[in-house]
Amino acid sequence: MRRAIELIRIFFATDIHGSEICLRKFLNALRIYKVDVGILLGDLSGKLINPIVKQPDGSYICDFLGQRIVAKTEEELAALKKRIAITGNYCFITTPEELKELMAEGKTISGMIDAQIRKIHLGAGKVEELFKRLVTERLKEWDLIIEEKLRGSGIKMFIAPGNDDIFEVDEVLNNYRYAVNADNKKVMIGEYEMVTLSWSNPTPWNTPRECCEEELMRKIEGLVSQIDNMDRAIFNFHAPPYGTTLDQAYKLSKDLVPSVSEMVNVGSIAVLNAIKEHQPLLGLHGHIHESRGSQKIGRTICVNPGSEYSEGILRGVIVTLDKDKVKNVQFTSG
Amino acid sequence: MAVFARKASGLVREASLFDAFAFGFFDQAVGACIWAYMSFGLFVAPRGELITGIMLGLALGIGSALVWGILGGSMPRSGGDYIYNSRIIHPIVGVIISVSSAWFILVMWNGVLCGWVIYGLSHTLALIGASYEIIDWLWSTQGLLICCTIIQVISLIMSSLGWRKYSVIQKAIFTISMVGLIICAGLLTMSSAEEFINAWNAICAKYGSIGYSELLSAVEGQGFPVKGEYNLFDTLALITTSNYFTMYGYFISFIGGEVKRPERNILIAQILAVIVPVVLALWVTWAAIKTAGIEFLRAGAYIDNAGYVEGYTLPFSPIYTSIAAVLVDSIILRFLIGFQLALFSFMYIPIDYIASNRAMFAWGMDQIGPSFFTDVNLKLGTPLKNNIIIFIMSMFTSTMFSLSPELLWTFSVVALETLTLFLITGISGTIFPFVKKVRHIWEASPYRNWKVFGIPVVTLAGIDYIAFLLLSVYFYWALPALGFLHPLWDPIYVTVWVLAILWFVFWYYRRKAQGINVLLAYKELPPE
Repeated sequence: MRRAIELIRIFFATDIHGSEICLRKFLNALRIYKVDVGILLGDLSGKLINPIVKQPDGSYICDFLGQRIVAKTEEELAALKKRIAITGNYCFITTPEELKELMAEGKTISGMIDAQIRKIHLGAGKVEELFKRLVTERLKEWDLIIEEKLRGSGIKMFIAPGNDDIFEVDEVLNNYRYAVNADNKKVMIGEYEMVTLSWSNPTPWNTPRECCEEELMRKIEGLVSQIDNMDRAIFNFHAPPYGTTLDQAYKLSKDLVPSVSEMVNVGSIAVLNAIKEHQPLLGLHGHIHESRGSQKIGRTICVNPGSEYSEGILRGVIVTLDKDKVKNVQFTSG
Repeated sequence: MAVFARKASGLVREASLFDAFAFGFFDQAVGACIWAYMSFGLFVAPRGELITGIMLGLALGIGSALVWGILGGSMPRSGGDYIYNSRIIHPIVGVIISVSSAWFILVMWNGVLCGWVIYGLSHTLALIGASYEIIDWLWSTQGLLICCTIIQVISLIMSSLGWRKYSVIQKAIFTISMVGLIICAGLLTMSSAEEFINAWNAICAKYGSIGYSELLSAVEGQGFPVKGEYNLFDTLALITTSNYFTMYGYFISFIGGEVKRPERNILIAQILAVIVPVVLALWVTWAAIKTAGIEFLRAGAYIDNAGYVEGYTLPFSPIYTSIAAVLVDSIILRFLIGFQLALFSFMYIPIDYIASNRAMFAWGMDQIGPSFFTDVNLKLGTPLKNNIIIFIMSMFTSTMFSLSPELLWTFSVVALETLTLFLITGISGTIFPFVKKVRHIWEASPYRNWKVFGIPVVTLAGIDYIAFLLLSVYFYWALPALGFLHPLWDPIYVTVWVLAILWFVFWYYRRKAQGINVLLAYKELPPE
């Protein structure tokens, strides 16, 4: 007869997109919610860089959240940088000349990312390099923060990238001193087995880690084959299962104009089929920020805590596993 | 200066302004509200000046739109008042207001609105010359029960089909309703008083009823002030119904998380949901006064509510739709003019279902309800179980309405809604910039620099909103005809609040026994 295993409390959050305030809240939440394990799934990288342009008079100007902000002192500059970081964006100090040079590559459009509206410059060349540097720098800083907060706590932490994260992120995460990069492997959470996949099905944006459903299925099967006991398995897949409450996003036109109110399912069929076929204990998902919810597929309870990273709010879910069952799922927002 | 973006998900173009406008406006039952204003409003405040009364509603509505719009744009998540009041005041307050609203106020409205829909149906049938037997049957207990059941079943189906299909049906209903209202407004605008009086007298002759002048005298003879000057008290009292045009755009907040570019679209949708109904109401009201005269409108309000005047034998009340309908001979036009009342009224019911089922979904996620509240039917993509619960509750209120339609449901429900949902959310809006625990949300809000004389606009709007809500409450209390002090309703108000508190307490302790602290769902997390 199989032995029932002990109670484990997990706190799961996802898609914090560079927001340091959300990372700090996540780390604090692990103690406040009295959990045994923290799982932070991708996407970890921010999406925007706000250039801060140094002016000849020594002041700095920056367009942030639709407003032109002028920082006249170093204190004001520090406050501005902090505000930018709260939203998950990056910033860098530049000159009008350098800015002009960077703008020469790529194209500028009027659009929005996560409710932040502005002229957006889709950078190329030097801007891409700048992104790589800023993304990896911030993630290296996070390693220090995580270690400082969790060392000696007895709380395990797993981390993984998502489809939005560039591949340079992997090396940084692999070198984390406290948190464990769980991507593309099996890790043990007590006696529960968790497999993690950062890739998603295709999106309209051609993000770094997306592939066709067939390829996604092959990746999933490769991971699933490592699981010994499906009754105690956790699928930590960034993409949510298709056709559920976890994968509803705004319908987009060909020109990426969103419907104001019409939602469509955009999750992965491969993920759905894998869950239906293998029936793990639990599915942890993210990717679709606006589709916070839980859904039972057969015996499997799937959750997507959603994300409000741009407002500095950490959305998460506390999952209690007890005797090979999901005892409780509690969504949080803090 | 642009920001730099990389190849990442989430980049979209802007949604059109029209979409935002339509999204807000489709939730406004303008035609039905105009009827309520000219009928209920003039009945309880016959000396009120109608145009000024609408402007009072506008004053309330601007405050309402700004409060709900700024809160929605600052916290763009589905769930409406539950989100704002939980974060700004206290989670327990948020839960109690949400339970009161989603399970009592909206469900009671579903009972009231069934009555409005049946009124619209019977009015339409009367305008196109249907037999008295059919119209009388509609208002019999059996007729009311059957019609209420049909209306609730259709609402259940519509709200369970999923948002996409619901939107298609909603747009079709809205379009037909607007066509009827515009025809009505056009006829009232283009016709002279003489043309109307002749047409009215002609139809009265056909039905053997007293004519235009005799009607005014007959109603005056029953002690209702048909003639006479406007007065300030009655004009101010009109806010009790002119607010119908302007305070229900708040429904947008229930799906705030599903609106793209929320800081713009939610606010625009809220404001347009006030401005456009007010403009339409001003147009129809002005045209109705010009064509039929205020005295006739007062008499019509009396007949529509009191029900009987010696010698008046027409099968329909003299309200703004019948004033327009008698000006044309076409059955189709008369049908459209009358039927818009039923359609506009009906539109609110499935919206109530959707708002309530989303609130229940949010409670389920926060562990203050059974776990099946978060169940979503995979085929339909909607929380079907929640909808069925709302259907059962709505059937109860519809049945209550059918058995006792005299209970002044409308004003009593609005009074409960004002005291519970609107006032508390008004307070949330007013204090939003000054509450420490939501300071980070305010700091990130796109409206934080909107100030007048140094005072945040949301605070000024909140004060305006609360002031006009209190003015409404004063008249609910000061005018006994409004039913606020009806002996049945006082215990109902108290019961609703007590039950909402008990609901929270029950789930708090039940979850505690299961080792769950429901307050964790709202716990502030230190950001350092």
